[in-house]
Amino acid sequence: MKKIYISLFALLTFTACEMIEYHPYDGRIKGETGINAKNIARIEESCKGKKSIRFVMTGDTQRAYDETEDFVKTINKRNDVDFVIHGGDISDFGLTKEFMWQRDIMNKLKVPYVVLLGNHDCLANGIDVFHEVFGEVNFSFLAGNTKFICLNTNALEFDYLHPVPDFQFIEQEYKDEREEYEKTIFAMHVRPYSEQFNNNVANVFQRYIKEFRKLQFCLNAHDHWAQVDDLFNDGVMYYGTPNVARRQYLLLTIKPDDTYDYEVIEF
Amino acid sequence: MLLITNTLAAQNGYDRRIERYKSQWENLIPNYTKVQYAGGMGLISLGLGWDYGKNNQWETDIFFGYLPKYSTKRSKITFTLKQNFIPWKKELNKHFSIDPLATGLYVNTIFDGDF
Repeated sequence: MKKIYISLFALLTFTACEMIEYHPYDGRIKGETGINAKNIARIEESCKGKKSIRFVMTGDTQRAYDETEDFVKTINKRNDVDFVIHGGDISDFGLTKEFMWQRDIMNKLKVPYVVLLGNHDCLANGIDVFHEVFGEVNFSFLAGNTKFICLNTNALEFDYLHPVPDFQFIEQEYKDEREEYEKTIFAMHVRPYSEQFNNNVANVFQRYIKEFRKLQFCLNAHDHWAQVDDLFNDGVMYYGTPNVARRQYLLLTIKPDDTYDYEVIEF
Repeated sequence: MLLITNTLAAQNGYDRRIERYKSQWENLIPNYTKVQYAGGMGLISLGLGWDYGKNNQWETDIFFGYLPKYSTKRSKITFTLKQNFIPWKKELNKHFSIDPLATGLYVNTIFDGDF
């Protein structure tokens, strides 16, 4: 009997190495957590007082590890970008390791980045892992005088116990009294009229977001290609980011005269 | 587990049928138990199996595993069906043997609404 215990104990020495996996969905998170909160603090600090900001958007990096590495290298070569927005679908299957692998690649960016929740990230217990590694699924930050409101719009992955989009969160953001906050940009993974969006409230959503201070435009990912659409025929543009595997990203510049520039860049 | 079986040779058609019927059911009883650590099927899994074939090289296992919740909301129970082929077994002593190579396939599922 003693021999069995000795050999079992000897086996436990293997736990140190990476080859032991309890389960692909075990939720055992190693490494950095709370990424969004840390990076939001960096963005707000570095952009304070700026009237012109320039940022990059990418998304749907799911399983495209090589292209994501190349994306990071190419952004690091630039010196004119304030931050990066990742529009969601950082994982393909909601596997615990996917979030950690992608986090480790994105952490090599010199500039701060934030990650939104994509529909693939909701699979299995992906949301729990996302919460720990990145943070809340609805969040906002102020870059200079522009507030970015990042929403979870993956309605198909939730039931009615979890409102998606969360209008209480949107209302909270609407009540933002800060003087420095002059313009608004909404970012989301899926855009209205996508199969994932709660299209019952598509018009309600659009009406509400237009009430925000100087709405510039909306950003989305999910569709895997560059999109430029006046979705509701009301002048509010929806820009979709291509997925990183296309080797393209969006570059947006918010200018002091209430205009902005937008470009699709190849790398 | 002890089974008292009739060791006398079956005398007639009825006895032979009963023997065959009993041995078919007996074949369904697992031959061994296993404890599995990690392996992509839980922190610890307990299983039963059947070995068969020439030199008992073929094994079929069923495991129930326990996975603690770690950073997720709930701890989970997993189920694994595993098929193994072990070409060589080396006996070390009366209590232990070593399998230099074990090959196999398995499918695993989690008993939880999200999976």
